[in-house]
Amino acid sequence: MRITLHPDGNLRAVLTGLPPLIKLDLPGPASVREVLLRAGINPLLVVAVIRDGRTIDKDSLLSDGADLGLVGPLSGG
Amino acid sequence: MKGYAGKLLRFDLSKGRAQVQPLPEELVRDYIGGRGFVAKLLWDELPSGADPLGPENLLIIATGPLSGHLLPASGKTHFGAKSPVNGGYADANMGGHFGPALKYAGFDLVILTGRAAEPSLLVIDDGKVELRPAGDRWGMGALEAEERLKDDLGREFELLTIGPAGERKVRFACLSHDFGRQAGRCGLGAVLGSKNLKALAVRGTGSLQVHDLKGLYAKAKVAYAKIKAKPGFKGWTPEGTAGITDWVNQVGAFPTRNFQTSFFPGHRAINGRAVVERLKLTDKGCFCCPTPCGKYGHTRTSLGEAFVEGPEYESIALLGGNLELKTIEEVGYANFLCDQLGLDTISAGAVASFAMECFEKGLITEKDLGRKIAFGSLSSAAFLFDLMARREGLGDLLAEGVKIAAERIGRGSAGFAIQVKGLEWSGYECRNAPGMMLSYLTADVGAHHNRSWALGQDVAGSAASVHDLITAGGKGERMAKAKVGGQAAKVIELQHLRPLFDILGICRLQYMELGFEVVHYEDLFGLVTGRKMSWEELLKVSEKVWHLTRAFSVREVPGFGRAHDLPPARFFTEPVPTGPNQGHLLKRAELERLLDEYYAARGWDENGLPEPKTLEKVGLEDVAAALESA
Repeated sequence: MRITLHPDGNLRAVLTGLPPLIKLDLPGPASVREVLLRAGINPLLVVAVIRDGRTIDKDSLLSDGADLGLVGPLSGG
Repeated sequence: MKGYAGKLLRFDLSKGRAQVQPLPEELVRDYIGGRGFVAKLLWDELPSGADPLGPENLLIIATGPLSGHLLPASGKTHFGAKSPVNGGYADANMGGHFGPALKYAGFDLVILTGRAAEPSLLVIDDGKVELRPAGDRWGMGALEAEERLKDDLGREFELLTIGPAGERKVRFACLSHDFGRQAGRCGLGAVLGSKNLKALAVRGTGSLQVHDLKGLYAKAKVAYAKIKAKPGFKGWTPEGTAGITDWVNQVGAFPTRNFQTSFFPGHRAINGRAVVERLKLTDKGCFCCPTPCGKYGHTRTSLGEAFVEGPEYESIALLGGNLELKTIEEVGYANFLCDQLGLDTISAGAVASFAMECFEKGLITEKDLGRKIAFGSLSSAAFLFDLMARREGLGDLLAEGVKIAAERIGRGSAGFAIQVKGLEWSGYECRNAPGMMLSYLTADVGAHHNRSWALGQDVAGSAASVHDLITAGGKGERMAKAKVGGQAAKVIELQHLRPLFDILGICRLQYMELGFEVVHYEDLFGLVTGRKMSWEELLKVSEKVWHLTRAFSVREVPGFGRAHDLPPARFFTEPVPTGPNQGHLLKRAELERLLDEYYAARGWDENGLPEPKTLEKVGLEDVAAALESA
């Protein structure tokens, strides 16, 4: 299945070299956490995962074509 | 002078006299606006040695060139004075609508001096300025006073009020606006109270000239679209800053039980989702903001019910985990009490938690207070807030802040008085976060997070590697001991970057939280003002201001230097007892090494004083000369 990741500026600020767009082809069903690891991203550095405008849990199972926004570490007000 | 209103209002409260002047061109050229104006005017105009709570202190209200224009999140207003917390540099910033209204009334800057003869209200109604008696509003809560004054004057007036804490010069009293927005830090509400001023009211119906109106509209439209297209827009906005509560716990940086530890097991009951599901009635945004992070809601507890804006992240951290309040309703109610009394939620939470720990250790007693207090008790928190805001009994000592309170209580309490330079620590525990620790130690006003926020870099450095996580089957909740060293350059970069938004008069959250690119701000600045300045050139101004605020504290605080940049002993003697950072701490020698690295990178001497050549290099020759001759 094909998964697309969009790391935001905060995530790319702490993981230098991470591109703004990542496309992954995986053999079968995978959770967000597993996908992040496959992309070389420690899930702890992802504050929120956004799918279809909503935050989803990192243990959520993904299906083919999932398009995820990844929000990196950010501060309070 | 495109983009600016073009005028400066001076108001001598002792004489009740207004003086309107053109905005000095060299001030605009060299310091741009907001925080830059505040720093320069304090340096130039404050009588050296002035009492922060005396009539000679200045309270400066400054907008920036981008404030009040039709572009994203341009509602910021900056405030500054000699600090009632430590006698050095102080400033605070708030969103809302006050700054735009001030510019529409014709003023970029207001400088208040003196002290009114009676409790008063200053009304700025377009070009007309009038000092009016406000004795009937004295004693009111900050929110209540705002409501009553809007009834009196008209709903279109924008208000800045203080509560009972400001009237009684509590050193962490805030300035309040728009029923829940505050310039919270550094006790600037006490400065307004010391001037016998309950409130300022502004109505502005004028307009602002810009360099390229057509270009600005086009660019602003693009900016809104780009912000709304950011990956985090739909995920971040619904919860606002409260949305990071779980993450800060997962990485072991959440202040808990007066910073005894850095993980609060009950964090899910007080997180952003709890705010949305249990409190929120509506989103609330500032002037022209596309990402309304304010969550206006209603809370009901055993002590009462209230409408409240928030709590946002910092209030959740200091009133939630740090006091161990168990529900978002309780945190919301504590937030409301602070707002009404006119207390900064960060400092009020820190002072209350300090008092609770003192009580547990027997350093203050039931006899001192007239009742027991305990962590986890909303009634204890409410009792303490009221006591300190009214300076009743032991509250008179707590109203001085944790540093002074600890000096008087003694018996080791300074070790857990969580502050730097007298300013209580905000919402990030740092015993395994050297970059964030250095940010707190060197922030110009004291332990405040908004000058530099380096926790993300710290976590990236301490979290398990992806390889280790895969081989461990995805486990890896524990953080490794952080490597100390190499943090100074990043902290300095952030200390120039984040405060630049306070110079421009625009909110930083669209950049910080959503990654809206800085090049857009460079473009907007040019379209508004007609000045061509690159982001790097703007950062140079911010760097100069950083050195200037340090120089101001050197001038005003006897013996100022390295000793003022150290944390309480808890952070270098007590390993974190629980959570992802269990067992970690930064040793005193490591902290000293961080400061050495920072001072060297800054061009300051080993005591943390700016070297003359450093000041000269950034264009502060006069400051260098003044410090040398002092």
